[in-house]
Amino acid sequence: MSNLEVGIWGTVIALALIALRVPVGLALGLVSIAGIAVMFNMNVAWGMISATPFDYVGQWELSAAPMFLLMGFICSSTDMTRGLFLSLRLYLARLPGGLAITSVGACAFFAAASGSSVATASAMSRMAVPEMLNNGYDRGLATGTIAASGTLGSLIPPSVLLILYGVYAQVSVGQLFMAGFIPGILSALIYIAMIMVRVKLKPELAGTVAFNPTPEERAAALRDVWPLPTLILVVLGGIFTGVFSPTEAGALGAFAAMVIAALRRKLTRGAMIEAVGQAVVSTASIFIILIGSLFFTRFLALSGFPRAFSDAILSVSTDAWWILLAVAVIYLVLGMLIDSIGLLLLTLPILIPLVDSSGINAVWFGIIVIKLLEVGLITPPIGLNVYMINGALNNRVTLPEIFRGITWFLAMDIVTLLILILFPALSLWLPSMAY
Amino acid sequence: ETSFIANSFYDAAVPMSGEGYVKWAELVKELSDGELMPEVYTGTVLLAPRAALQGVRDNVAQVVHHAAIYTPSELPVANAVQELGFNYSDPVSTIFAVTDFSMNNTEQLAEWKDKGVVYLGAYTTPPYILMCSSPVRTLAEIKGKRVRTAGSAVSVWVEEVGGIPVNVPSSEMYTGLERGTLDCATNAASDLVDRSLLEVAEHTTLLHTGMYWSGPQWGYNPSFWAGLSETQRGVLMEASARSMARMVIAYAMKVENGLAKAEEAGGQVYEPAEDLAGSADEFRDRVLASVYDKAREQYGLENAEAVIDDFRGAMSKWQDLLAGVDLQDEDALTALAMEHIYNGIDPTTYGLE
Amino acid sequence: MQAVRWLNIGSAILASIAMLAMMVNITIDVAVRYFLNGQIVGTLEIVSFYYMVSLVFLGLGYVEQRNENIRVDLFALMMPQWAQLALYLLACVLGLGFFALLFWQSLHDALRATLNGEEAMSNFAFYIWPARWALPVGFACVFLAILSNLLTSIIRRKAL
Ligand code: NA
Ligand code: NA
Repeated sequence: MSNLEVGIWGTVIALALIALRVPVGLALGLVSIAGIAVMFNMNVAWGMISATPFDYVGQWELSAAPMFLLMGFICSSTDMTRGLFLSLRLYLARLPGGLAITSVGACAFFAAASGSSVATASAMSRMAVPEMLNNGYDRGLATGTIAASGTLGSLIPPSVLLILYGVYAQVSVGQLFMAGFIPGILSALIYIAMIMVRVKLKPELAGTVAFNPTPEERAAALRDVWPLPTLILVVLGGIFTGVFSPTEAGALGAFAAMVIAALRRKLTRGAMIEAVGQAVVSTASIFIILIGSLFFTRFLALSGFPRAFSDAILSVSTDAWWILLAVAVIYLVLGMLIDSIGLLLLTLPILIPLVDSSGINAVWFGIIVIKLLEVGLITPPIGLNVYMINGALNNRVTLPEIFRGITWFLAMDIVTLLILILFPALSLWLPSMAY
Repeated sequence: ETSFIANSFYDAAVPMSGEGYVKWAELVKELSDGELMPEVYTGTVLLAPRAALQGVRDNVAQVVHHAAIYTPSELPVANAVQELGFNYSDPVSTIFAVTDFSMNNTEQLAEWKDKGVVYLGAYTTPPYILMCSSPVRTLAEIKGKRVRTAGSAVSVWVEEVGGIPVNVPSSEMYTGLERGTLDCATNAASDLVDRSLLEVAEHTTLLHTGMYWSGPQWGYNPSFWAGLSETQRGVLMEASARSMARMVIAYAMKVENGLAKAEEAGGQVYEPAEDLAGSADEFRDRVLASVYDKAREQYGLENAEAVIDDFRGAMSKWQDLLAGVDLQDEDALTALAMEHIYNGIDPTTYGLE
Repeated sequence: MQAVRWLNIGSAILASIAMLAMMVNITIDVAVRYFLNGQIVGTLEIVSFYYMVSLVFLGLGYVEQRNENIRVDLFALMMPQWAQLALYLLACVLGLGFFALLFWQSLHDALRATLNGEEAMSNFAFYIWPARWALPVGFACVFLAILSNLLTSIIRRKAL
């Protein structure tokens, strides 16, 4: 068997193991060790084991990932979004589908304070979905809104996916953060437009319960609106004015979130333990996939598969459109099966050589990839956000109902993707202004 | 046909990877009539910078670039002579002298062998200079400035003159200068263009703060090396000689280009004022005076004097050899390297048991 | 199994401490730089080699313990109970093998680094060999956690 064949078989076996419920990092890592032992010998495999985990984990730039996760978990464990959500609602109530629009807006805000999509969807689903259901909203619309808007978490900075992409593809994380901003806002606006049009055409989607808050309720909501905007201001303001770097921003953000929580007297021992525990678990479960993926990178590189794959794609056409189409198909197919971080780390070893040799802008490509990965979070059969919401609501809304509600949002994501591909400036203008 | 994996962790825009690996691979194919087919990986995807030495020892790659400063405790001899980095500023004589020393000095050869690598040629950065967001020409001006330094000698000097040595990854240099968390970066002038530093560091001072050359530009896996024919080993030596000439020429052009582009963009390029230059000179003398002790105490070299003197001898030998040679002439530099280094190496025994 | 559980909770607590220490250290470093134009010497090195490494590797066992590894459940959920159990046992066995390999090699690396007194490139002598020990410890914790989950699953005759 040639090395290339080993590489292809290794990829197939890894995918099969993943489908059979073997943890993603373990499947990638083990296949790589076995594959390298087959192609060369066990010594090369031992060498890889000893040269990889320590040297990659011990990177300053990656330290931002756990810090942004911690920041997001502090926000959700201390209930930092509630005031903002209620206030947005006060002002958006008159719009068709006002509560759904409020939810999209609150998700966008929370996304700017959270590094991950699943964390965003999780925090918002506990508050926004019951609210919408109690107001007679269509069950699909209520859950679909949160599942889809949760995906803003990885596009609007900060974003763990963008950090991983940046460190892996050797692109500035600061630039990627800037680049994700407009596409994130654009996605939110397109969702909002779709909700308004749909509710206008079919008002029963948005229920019939009248919304008449008392003056006390209004005042209470406005009093507690400040925490999230303040946190976002501290983090983004600090980066823009140069008080700290995008890497340091994670630690500062987590710290600021704790200070804000303490000021609101919400920083209980329970909330702290919950936030730190979740951050440790998320970090470790992301990094074990990262380690598996780094093994997989070496295995594939040594097999020559990425180069053969890239040559095959480029032999058809070197047009950016063709390459993006090929990449999109890969992500949409695999995105049905694998969650976003696993998929990103699984595919980068194959796709980065392709991007390098085709001359596509790596920042722009990163944004497209993140958007594609986000679509994967809400496509059946494996849509992590969907499962998360289903779980958070104790199965009050069934999976098929949620997936049905998401269809419209998926269609909007395709529109957003096309716009982002047609107009690279939407992603590249902000970083070009700042750097 | 023998295909093998070659890895250099620099981006392909840097001569160590561009001339030293990408174009080197073409050269190797050509010189061997397609018998030797290197497959080149640049960047850190295959091997992290600190893992290159181990990667070649374990045969993950068959030839690697390894910067010995990343593994100070593994390569004491190479790091001991790197301590003199602050004291030299001519890349051409340095790249050949380091090769000459590294392929002939007994202690250094024993170190390569012990660490499982066959050394076949050097690299060197140009002398690092100061690129700053505000003018730093005098001792008064450097006081309180936050300077990104890479390595111990230069950071000691920065501290002595009242600056603050800061260690940030090179990937964060630009942001640091832009946001003001750094005032200066000490790096090669080519970074004015390659890392766009000219946008954020408008004041360049041509004060030489050291070159980096430690570790093999091409370090081969010993069993891979042993499996090659004599002719093939000869081809790789010739490829080393020519690629070193290409690297220093390309780097010199990049430095010139970086300074020119910086001035075009409205930046200033200064010579250091006497007090600043004098302080650096005085520091160099002290480095030289203490380098033997340092080699003995910090790096555990028993015959530190012999090793350091041998290295300094190679440096002066090459400064003499290059006097009157056109430093832009690739063929002339290649011929010199062949004549004074590689022709003296026996391909039937070098790097073998 | 209780001992394994407490071992993993203990290492997760260490990981949590590393995470909070990282946050505090970077915050203070930024504050000292902003207000005093100074720095906490070695922040870069300590964050990379000590906090990050401890946080990640010491957290692994706890993730396994709580069965929070990222897996694709879909196809398994469509299968009968016995097949789910078989797949889970397969994953456990593969996991035991994988982490045994990682433990063995990282133990060697830690020993060698300790004997060499391994340092990192820095503006000053910075020892990194102690950080190497987080790997074998972390991998051993995962190994034991998998073993414990494997036994639990066999006793209950049910995939976890
Ligand atoms: Na975000
Ligand atoms: Na999916």
